[in-house]
Amino acid sequence: MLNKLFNELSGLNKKFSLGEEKIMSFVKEQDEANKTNEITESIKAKSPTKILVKAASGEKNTDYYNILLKEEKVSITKGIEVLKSLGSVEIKVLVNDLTEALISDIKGIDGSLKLKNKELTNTSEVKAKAFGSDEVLVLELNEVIRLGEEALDLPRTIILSVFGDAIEGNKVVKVSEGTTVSELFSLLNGNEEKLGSIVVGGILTGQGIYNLNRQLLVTDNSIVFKGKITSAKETTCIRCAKCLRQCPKGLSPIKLVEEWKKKNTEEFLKLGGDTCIDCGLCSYVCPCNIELAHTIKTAKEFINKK
Amino acid sequence: MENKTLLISPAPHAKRGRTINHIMIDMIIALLPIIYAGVSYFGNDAVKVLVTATISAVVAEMLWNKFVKKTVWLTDLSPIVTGLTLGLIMPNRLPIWIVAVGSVFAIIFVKMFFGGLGQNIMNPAAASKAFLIASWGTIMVTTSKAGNIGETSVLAIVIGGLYLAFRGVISLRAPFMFIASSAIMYMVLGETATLPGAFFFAAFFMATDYATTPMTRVGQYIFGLACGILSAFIAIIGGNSDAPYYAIIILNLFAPMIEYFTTKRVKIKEVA
Repeated sequence: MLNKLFNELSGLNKKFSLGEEKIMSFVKEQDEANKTNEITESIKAKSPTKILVKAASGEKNTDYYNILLKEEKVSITKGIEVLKSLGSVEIKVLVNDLTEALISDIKGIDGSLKLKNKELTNTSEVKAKAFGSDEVLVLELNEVIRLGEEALDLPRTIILSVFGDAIEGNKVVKVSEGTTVSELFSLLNGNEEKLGSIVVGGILTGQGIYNLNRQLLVTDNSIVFKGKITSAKETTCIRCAKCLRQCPKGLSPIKLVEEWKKKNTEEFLKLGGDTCIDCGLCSYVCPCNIELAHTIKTAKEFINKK
Repeated sequence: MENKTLLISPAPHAKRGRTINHIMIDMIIALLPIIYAGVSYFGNDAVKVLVTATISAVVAEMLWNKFVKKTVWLTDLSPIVTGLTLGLIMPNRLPIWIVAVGSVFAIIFVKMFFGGLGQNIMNPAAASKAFLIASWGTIMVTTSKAGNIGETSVLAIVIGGLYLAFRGVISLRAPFMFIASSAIMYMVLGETATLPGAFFFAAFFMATDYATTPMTRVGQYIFGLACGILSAFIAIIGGNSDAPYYAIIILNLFAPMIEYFTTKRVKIKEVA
């Protein structure tokens, strides 16, 4: 309980909490010609032997898996069946406190795994902890739902959570395959004057997009239509050590950035710069608005290119 | 929606939103119980000392910002915290002009000369106290018979310190080690373990200063331990009642080295 009291991520939890526990559907009628089986075919082409299904996430805006497990149980069960029918496949599920109970009655799952929030961003470590090897296919729960829809010949849909000041958000929506970002924006009564930027994926590790005609994909778990904000100025480091406290790997982000700015690549690697998992928590908590996460990412790119 | 200008920025796309000024406001709130205790014990003289210290600190930093032609010469709230801390470790009957000189020394010489907020090498208030004792020794000793303003109530200091720990501004590692090691050294050197108020004030408000103490967890424990042992030595064997402040400024010079030796390092595999 004390952990929750001092949690620096509590602000994110409040801002990205969902209004209701139901999925709002905007699904239209779909022509038979448009119904593809692309997800099933792409997974069959990879011929996996170990599959990890993600039903837990470190970032609050993508963490609505308990709603998916309640509302889309039929598709999920069928999807797991399809995965099992590919051959001798071992399926494990990554769960959190809410989803652990809900997966217990789905047949075909060989085991579940629970990790702390901060560790969930590091995919290779999660793979290693689940199966002990790197040859693991990681699937989102949304992809499993699509597998079930393709097998049962239901309309192909995309489910994602929507947030942001520019729309009526804080809910989970279901749209037809082929919907673009701008169509979703008008379905949610978006206010163009307020729109400043669009982020797809988790709020800390996601990707900013600019193409409004981009079609939504099954793997986009969440979309945030952010309002227009002016960032505060960057000041010098006050040595408060908040970045050290948040780093899941125990690194010192400000020291890494200082060594990189002096172009000491050897010292950067000795301090563990290569082991950074790009979670973005250091930049999130910095009171001086120093650009830590992106500088370390750039440093890793430059060093690994040599 | 055609031709809309959107902003693309790198991850992460959200910020905590707690800035330097929020931290400074928390520190000012934590000093309020101590100010109340000091003023109600010492009376109006204490108010004059505190007000002079704060105003000279703010004015000194503003004039420095103008002198170096900063774009915005209004300061944030940090000189207020430095001024209040300095005022609280001064005796109450000190002449006002000495307080003002001490404040200017702390802000300009110890903080601004080295680069401003976060770049000072020693705690400004403690270094200024050492400077004043060295320069006006007789006045400082004769007026400090009754003790310093901020050291009247240990309970008020502990309340302020626990408030800061509760808000996540400081951690209790260095204060805890400071007090524990001081008490043990007192007993080892043959005195009773009732520490003067100065030890608690230095532990909660100076051994947790961001710029001058190590950033790593282990480093903070080492800092608190060394500080406690040194101040106990200076207080008992040296007979100096301002011992913790001297110990703090000596240990501040070791802080970068302690940080260097306690930072996590990984072994890189040598490519043959």
